[in-house]
Amino acid sequence: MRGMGGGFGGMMGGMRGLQSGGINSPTMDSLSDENALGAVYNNRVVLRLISYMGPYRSDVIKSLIAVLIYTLANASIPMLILLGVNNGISSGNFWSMHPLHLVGAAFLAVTLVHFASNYLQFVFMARVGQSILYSLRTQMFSHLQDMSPSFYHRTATGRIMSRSQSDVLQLQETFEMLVLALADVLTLAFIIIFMLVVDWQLALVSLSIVPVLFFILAYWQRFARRSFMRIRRAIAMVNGEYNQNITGVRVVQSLNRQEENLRHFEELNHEHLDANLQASRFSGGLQPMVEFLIGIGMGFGVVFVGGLLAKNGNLEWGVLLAFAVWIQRFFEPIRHLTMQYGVFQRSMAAGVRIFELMDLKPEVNDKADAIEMPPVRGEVRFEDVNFHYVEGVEVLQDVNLHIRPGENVALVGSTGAGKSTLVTLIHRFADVTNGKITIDGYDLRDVRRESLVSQMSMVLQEPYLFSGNVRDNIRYCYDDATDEDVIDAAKAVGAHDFIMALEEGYDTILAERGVNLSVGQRQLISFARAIVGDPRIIVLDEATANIDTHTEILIQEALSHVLEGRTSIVIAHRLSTIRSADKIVVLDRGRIVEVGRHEDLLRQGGVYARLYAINYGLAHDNGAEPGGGQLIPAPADND
Amino acid sequence: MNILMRITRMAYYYRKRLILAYFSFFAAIGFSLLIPWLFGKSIDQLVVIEGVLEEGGRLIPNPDLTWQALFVLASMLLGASLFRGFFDFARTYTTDSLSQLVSYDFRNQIYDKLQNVSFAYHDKEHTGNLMSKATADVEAIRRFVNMGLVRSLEVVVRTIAVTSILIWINWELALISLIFVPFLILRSTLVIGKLRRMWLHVQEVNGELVTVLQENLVGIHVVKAFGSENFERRKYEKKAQELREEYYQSERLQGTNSAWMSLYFTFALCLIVWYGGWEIIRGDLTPGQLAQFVLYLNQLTFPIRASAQIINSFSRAISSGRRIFDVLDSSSPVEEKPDARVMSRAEGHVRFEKASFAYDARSATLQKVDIVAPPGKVTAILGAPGSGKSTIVNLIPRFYDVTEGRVTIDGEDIREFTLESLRRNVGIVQQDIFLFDATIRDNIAYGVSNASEEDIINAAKVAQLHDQIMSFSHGYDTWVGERGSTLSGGQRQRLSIARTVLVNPPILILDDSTSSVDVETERQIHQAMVNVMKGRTTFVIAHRLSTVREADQILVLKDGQIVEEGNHVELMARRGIYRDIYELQLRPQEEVLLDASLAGGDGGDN
Repeated sequence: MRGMGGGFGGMMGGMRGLQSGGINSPTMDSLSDENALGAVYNNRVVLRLISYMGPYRSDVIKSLIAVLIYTLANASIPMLILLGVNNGISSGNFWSMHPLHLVGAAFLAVTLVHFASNYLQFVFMARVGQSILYSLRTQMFSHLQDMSPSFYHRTATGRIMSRSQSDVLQLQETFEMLVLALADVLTLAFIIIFMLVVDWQLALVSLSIVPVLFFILAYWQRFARRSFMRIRRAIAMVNGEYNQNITGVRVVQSLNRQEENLRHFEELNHEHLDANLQASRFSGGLQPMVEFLIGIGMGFGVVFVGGLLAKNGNLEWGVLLAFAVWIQRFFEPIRHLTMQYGVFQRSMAAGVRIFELMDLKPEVNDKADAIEMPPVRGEVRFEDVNFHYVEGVEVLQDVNLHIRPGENVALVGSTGAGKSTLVTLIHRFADVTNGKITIDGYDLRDVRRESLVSQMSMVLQEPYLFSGNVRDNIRYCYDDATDEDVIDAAKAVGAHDFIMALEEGYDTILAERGVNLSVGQRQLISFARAIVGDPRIIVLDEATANIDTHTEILIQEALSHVLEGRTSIVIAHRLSTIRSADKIVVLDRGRIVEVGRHEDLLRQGGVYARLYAINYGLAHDNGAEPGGGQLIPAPADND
Repeated sequence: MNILMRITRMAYYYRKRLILAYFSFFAAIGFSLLIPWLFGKSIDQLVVIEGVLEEGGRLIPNPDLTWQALFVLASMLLGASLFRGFFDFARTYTTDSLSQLVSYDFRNQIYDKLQNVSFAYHDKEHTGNLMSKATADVEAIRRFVNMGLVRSLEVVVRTIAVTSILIWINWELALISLIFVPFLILRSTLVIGKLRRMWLHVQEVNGELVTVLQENLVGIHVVKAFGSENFERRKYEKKAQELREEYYQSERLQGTNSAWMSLYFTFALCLIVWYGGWEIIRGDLTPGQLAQFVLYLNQLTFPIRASAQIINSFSRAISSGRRIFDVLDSSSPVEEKPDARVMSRAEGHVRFEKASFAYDARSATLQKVDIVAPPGKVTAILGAPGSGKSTIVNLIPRFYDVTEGRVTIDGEDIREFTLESLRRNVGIVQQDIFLFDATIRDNIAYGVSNASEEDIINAAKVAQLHDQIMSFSHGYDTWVGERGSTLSGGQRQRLSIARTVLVNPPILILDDSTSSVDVETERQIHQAMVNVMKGRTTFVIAHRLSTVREADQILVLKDGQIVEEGNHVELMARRGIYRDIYELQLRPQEEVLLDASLAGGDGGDN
């Protein structure tokens, strides 16, 4: 299932602060290969899975008891046949045949017990299985929430999806498999015990074929394993190709690639077909052998040897009948167990992958004694901050910066200068490597992240919306916000009018990622979302990009309202926007090289002035407007 | 039922296999029926009744039995088992391969349908949903072909065969032990319907859960920015809880069904021993016949147990089949005419004649638009979001079809041509840039599979991307896409331009959204665009006025209509919307100019 959700990596690319510009080294994935297959039984995985049963202990015990009773009842049925035949029938006289009625009644009782335990086994198993699935799912999700953005940058969404969807489902299946396998093993044990007790000689003769069977199975598994891995690889390729073609369908169609793609897909699909056919030959090939062995057990064990014993009067015929039934029932669990081989192997591999993901340590963690952040005033301080993702590749160096409450700061610098990294550090997307960042004097690492971040806000470069209606998207996690608050926020950013023009206003359902809205409209909604919680600190990461001129104007008008009274840090390349900032911070290769107001910096003739000139120069070259057409009006108060 | 018929028809294509499967299971059943019969015979050879048990008779070992006779019986049993095993294998293999072939066909069909169906379809469908159709639903169909199509018949045949034999042996005992079968069947039929409804619901809830997860992962930066982890956790837990409950209910129903089935089987066995024992005592039944009853009934265990699964496979196949056929049957609003012609390389004269378009019947997105775009000229389209800019350009390569009026290229209605030849003439650089999981080279050559290395490099050069590609350690072999490296927005945009350049279309559409880049990249992109527009009829959805000013004609859209058109000078003179936009955005730029001259010397050129 890898590749689920592939092609949604756009968001990751948007956070340029998390990658050191341009291209990255090929996926430095901290997760192991999807196709790696381990043993059929992995003690660590099984023990850990069992630990998940803890909270449902009583249901687990009930289901085990049900299994025990069920298997015992199941194995005892031939015993009852035997008793009926031996004691009921053979004893002759009709009036002395009380034993038959006794056995009949006992049989009836066992039947009812068999039914009840069978039913309860299903019920408890389903309940525990689903509960474990639920626990795994929610714990996995919860864990994913703790992982930092850099993890998501390194790891493809598809891989995480496949771990939290198909692998988790696989583990739930594992639990049911474990119970059923236990039932199989118990059934085998009970049958062997019954057979030995009834007639150990005949039992040994009939069971003499079992070692042969195990030998054959062991040999067969080597092939099964290989062909199973082949299937797995093939289906991963097929699904990956599917996913890619769905997400990239617009390009496929515009470049007329359908025929070529279908040809390629047919190849992958055919490999999957071949792999399955091969597997089918292997698993099907087992059938004649098992039947042959049953034939030996039934024919030469029971009929021939048993017959000879009975002929000499050493055996009642009822024993033969019971043995015949037992032998048939004996092979069923064995066949069942071997059929589960693939499931087991898959489950162990899934378990290894899941627990590997769950064991990854979040890079950003709340301290045990982290305190609740009091209401934020908005003073931000960077003190000797250094930051890197990879040792030796410093993204930020010796950053010292003081932002006063309510100040409007513009970050300027070329691609890869560290602007995005700097702002995301304020939101604790990652922890500083050296130095510290404080808000209102509190070190970020000393307060609970949620209590801090919920008082701040950020608008990302690429607007991202969730499915649901417009209102829910604006309100997002601020459950306290009333409908009026939502509308006020939309009005403040100038989104209200277009929202009302939508078919169902605020109740309009957004399609996947909001594709039924234009990028600009999506951005406006994400703006509204950013202010609905009345944050004290607001970060705009090129938030004004990607918007058509019309919406741009709307946003620029709204921006002054949005930023008013809040500490704001804006990343923008548009010098005209930056000019009105209270403070311009110029970053170059991870260092702050200049800080000041627009006029002062121009006069200094440093990096800022040069950037400014390039901007102008570009426009000049093209004989068009300055700013390469990034014609953004300055905020209203500048006019 | 109609759905199952259609699936069956797909399987019928491989009727040789199907017939082989049917033949082998008939043979397998035949041999397996021999086994209890032989066993019963052996018992009757072993044990004889002296007199009638009821009247004080007794069972004694048969004194006439020789070990040779026993050996023959044992060998016959072994032989029957062996043949049964062989035919079982044949049945398994033919059925498996049949079901795999059918799912193979389904996969190909869905794949091809999805890549050809028009954009309007993809606008509506979630990727996750389409993926689950291609995976889970195809799997359900495979199971149906395997279980439903072959196994169900096997179950029926075996049940009838065993029943007939039992009635033949002793009709009274058969009646008593089989009397519950009709009730069992009735009960199962009722369960079918219920399980199907439940399963549909489980699928739905699961889909919702996947959506929550996927959106969370893709939007993790939003989650982090808002510190809304706990909000997300609650959202997910709520859905997971719902799914758990739904799953549990459907599994319980399945379990109940299965338990009832085995109850019947055990109960029947109880009756056989009890009543059959009595019959032996009365002399109406031989011990061997009783043994046959027990073993034949044992042969019903598997079919009866499997029937729960089979019933399930039916109900799943119906729901999954419906979902798949929904895809396969969806009629694309954009269809090729049966007599569509191949468009040769166009000169590039594009006209919209009273073209209207509506996404749905209620509101028109475009209303009677007239555009004349002469060969080699640049048309810029401006307008507020939702004014119809993207719609106009999407009409040219027929991603959508006009609802009224027509679009012509070189004077001919574009609906007269094959889609393939039309789209070869119309290149489009889209707003959402999608990279395939492949090397940069393959991504550039995506539209031209036999492109030479030289062509690819040239295209990259035109798109101003060559130098950057060469700076990567693997150059053109750098892997990009989901599993590869991440390119920046600007690089993606230029790669997309290179991809289009390589196709060399006479008509070009640029859905321009490159403002999210820094100054240097901006300039490279601008240069790439200028390069690529040369000699092509170009439509630009412009967000930058530099492009707009250079355009040969500018269309200003409002609410799906062209409200102003002309070149920059004409429109400025008109003092309309265009002028408003321009004015609003020009003034700050002039201030920039002024400031720059203050800043002094090193500005002019670089």
